[in-house]
Amino acid sequence: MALSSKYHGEVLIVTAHMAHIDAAVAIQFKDEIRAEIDDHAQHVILNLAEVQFIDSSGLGAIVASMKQLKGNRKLDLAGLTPTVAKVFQLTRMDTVFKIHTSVDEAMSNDGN
Amino acid sequence: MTATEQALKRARLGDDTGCVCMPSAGKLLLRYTSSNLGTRQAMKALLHGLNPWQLSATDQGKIQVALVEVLNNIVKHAYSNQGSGIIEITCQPFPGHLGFEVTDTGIPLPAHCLTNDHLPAVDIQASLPEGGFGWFLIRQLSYDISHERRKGKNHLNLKIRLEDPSAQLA
Repeated sequence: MALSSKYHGEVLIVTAHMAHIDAAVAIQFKDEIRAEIDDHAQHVILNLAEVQFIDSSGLGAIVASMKQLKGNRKLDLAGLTPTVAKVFQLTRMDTVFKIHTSVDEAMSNDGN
Repeated sequence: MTATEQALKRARLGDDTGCVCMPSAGKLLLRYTSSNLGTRQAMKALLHGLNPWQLSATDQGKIQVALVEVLNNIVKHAYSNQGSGIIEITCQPFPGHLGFEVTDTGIPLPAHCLTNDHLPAVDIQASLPEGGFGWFLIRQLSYDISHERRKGKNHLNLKIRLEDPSAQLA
């Protein structure tokens, strides 16, 4: 499992370097996200551009990660591939998360 | 070599993953020992096996999402996360749809799984559900879902509609 993160200004971009977020890795994924997001990050974007497949347990792990951010802190998503986007759409989770086409698009709109 | 033979040859590529594929007239048969990684490998073998039918990426995604939820439920609930049970998948292509039968020898599937198609409430952010989406996704992506318990085995049957009219069906 691999996550990497870096700040672009105030925004923490966390990138998932894996093809699947499924039942085999969901718990570990949730733990690693928690470790990756430091307490100072107010705005986090989870970049899913490398993820080809997500199941309901992976979806649950992402929801849990968002719920851990209290107050005004927020978690957006970026770079959903078609099957991942379909899962978010069917479960209406696309109405819960702000979803950016890509990290680049999210950054160019930030602050506008 | 017929499309089915080609499919079976490709599906055998999954053998090193612990997934066994067996020939049967016009069908793909997969068999593996219950585990989350096994499910991932079985899906890989199944999609390899379906290559000759040239399914669209959309259809492949749909099959993957629906089947993985079915298989996750078996691993987690029927076999209680104890990786000793056998899971068998039969996939039969028809014009316009695929028919699936998935069997296991775990605990019986509760009847409400097939009838409850409510999406967990997603409007209150603080209490967003982290689970309960599995059967909802299965019901959204498949049809003619039925379950039978026979001789200590769960038999779950479902169909998945193929949306791509250019798909080459044998």
